[in-house]
Amino acid sequence: MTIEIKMPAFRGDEKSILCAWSVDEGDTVDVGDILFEAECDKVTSPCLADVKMKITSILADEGDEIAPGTTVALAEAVN
Amino acid sequence: MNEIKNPVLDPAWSIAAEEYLLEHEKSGELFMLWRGRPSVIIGKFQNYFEEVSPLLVEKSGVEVVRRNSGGGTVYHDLGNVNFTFFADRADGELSYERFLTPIVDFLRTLGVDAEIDSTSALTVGGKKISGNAQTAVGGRVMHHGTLLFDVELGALSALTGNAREKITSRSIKSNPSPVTNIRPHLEHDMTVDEFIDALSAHLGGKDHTTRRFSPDEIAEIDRIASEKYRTWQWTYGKCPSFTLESEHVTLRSKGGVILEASSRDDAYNVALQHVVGCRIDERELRSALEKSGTDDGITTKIINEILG
Repeated sequence: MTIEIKMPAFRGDEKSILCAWSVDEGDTVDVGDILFEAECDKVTSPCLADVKMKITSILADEGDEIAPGTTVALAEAVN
Repeated sequence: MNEIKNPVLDPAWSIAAEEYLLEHEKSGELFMLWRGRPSVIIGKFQNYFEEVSPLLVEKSGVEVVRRNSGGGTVYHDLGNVNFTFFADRADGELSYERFLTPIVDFLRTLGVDAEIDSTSALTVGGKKISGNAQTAVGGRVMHHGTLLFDVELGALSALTGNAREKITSRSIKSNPSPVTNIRPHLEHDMTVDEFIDALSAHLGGKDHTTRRFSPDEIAEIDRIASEKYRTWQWTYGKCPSFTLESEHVTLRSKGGVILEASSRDDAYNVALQHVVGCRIDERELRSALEKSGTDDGITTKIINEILG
């Protein structure tokens, strides 16, 4: 099953900057691992994995300004 | 509200204490007031080499610390009072007003006509007296801000707000603004210690409780400060990729290390090949250039263009 990793909403529909990826394509991450870190209006926040998954495709670059709900990466669930 | 007392004047330690408290204080509201020795404090995702003149900062002798929250570069000294709140993230939304309103109320009790502006700063007469930023992890948020009570404004303007235009990156940029100190706006003059005591009482309110860090907490914060906030890897190595274009130098860097360097001028081009792989650090660059037998004049120009 493909998992779409999305930019969360920090402050309404305000865009966030994807500042740093903590994973690469091909990485397998556990629940609670940091996927990426974002900044919105001087608030920094990590985006964490909520299931165990393997990252298959990274769709956004560091420094991109991204609207909440936009898919930034794809992953496959891992048992 | 609960308060944790922090008399430590080491900015890296206090920023490590913020990280510790965000991770360990899992419920309720808590605040901490603290000051730091003269220092330049950069936002988590900023490019240090772009935001300041590293040579000027080095010459001034102030410390450099990368914090965990967002936003731009600020200057601290003992005339600046920092306030940090730890709280639950109400309804998943992140609000500045929630934390800034009590600060504004406090300042107004002292006759200071403070307002919250559109960048989440506090201003008096349109000039900034407080910059604010947050970190949110899970259901908790840490909000911190500066209060320019009686800061050396000459040092502040010399060391911050001078972005280097020859550098290009996708880092978070500072937003320099005119600033003023709070002290001249007070109805009745007070010292910085009196200001801190009054702020503590105001924020604490009728259920004010205070505590100090335990020896175990101090040991853990010491560890975080040493292993993270005082390291080159965190402070400079976290810099994102950037390019620099100056009269004699074109370079590309990531993580504070020079990946490629060249020049249209042959003599500079030869010299610059010796700094590829070096950290962007005056001593390291000078050492590499001296070992390669580079002419002193060229060495000085290269260092001034990369770090000046």
